[in-house]
Amino acid sequence: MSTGIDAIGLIPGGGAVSAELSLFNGAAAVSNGTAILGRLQLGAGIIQTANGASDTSSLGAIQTVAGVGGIVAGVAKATPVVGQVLSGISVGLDLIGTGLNIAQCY
Amino acid sequence: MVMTEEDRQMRLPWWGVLCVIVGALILGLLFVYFGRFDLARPTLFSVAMVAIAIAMRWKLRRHGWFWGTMTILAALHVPLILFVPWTTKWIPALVIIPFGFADLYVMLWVLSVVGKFMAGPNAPEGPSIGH
Repeated sequence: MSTGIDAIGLIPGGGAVSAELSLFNGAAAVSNGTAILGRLQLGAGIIQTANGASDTSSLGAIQTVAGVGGIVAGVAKATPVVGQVLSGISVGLDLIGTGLNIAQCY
Repeated sequence: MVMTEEDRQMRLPWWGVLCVIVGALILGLLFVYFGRFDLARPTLFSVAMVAIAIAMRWKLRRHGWFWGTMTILAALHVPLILFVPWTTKWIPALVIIPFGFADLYVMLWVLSVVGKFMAGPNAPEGPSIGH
């Protein structure tokens, strides 16, 4: 699940991916799809922030505060490449972390 | 202006994203091999931010001060990686993005200030100073 949530950040706003998320065609599809994508990213951010809020440790508190910033940053899409690269690295490291957790079970 | 419209429109193609994931996997496994997986995330994120800063200001590559400044900025990340107690627990990417953005913004701001200083008082405005 963590890998999936991190992978949402890989999707850049606008373009073909956004159009695929829309029910419409053409330029309206890109615009509508981008809005849907924004809501999807916002939703993921809220899930993460809620997850951090349930954690009472200092790291959890930091995550909650940062999560709000993450939502803002995700919606603002200031520099999509930063989100793409950091999400890509997170996905790669999440896969390793998942593998290590599974290995500990055996 | 630190961040240009060109910077905001920069995006990775799908194969670029794939390369980032595969690269992170390979380098992450190296950290696991050496028993310091806790340092994988901060190291890769720092390297990525420095690389993005260089890519965004690639037009300044012929200037010595640009590489000097980037070397110093990259070196400043080393104590941050080594002396902060990092966790191996999952940290959502969207939580890290604002910190990465802040890091990148500071580096671009420093480059802008150094660029203005190196270009002298009659330099034009903008990040492409020194061309």
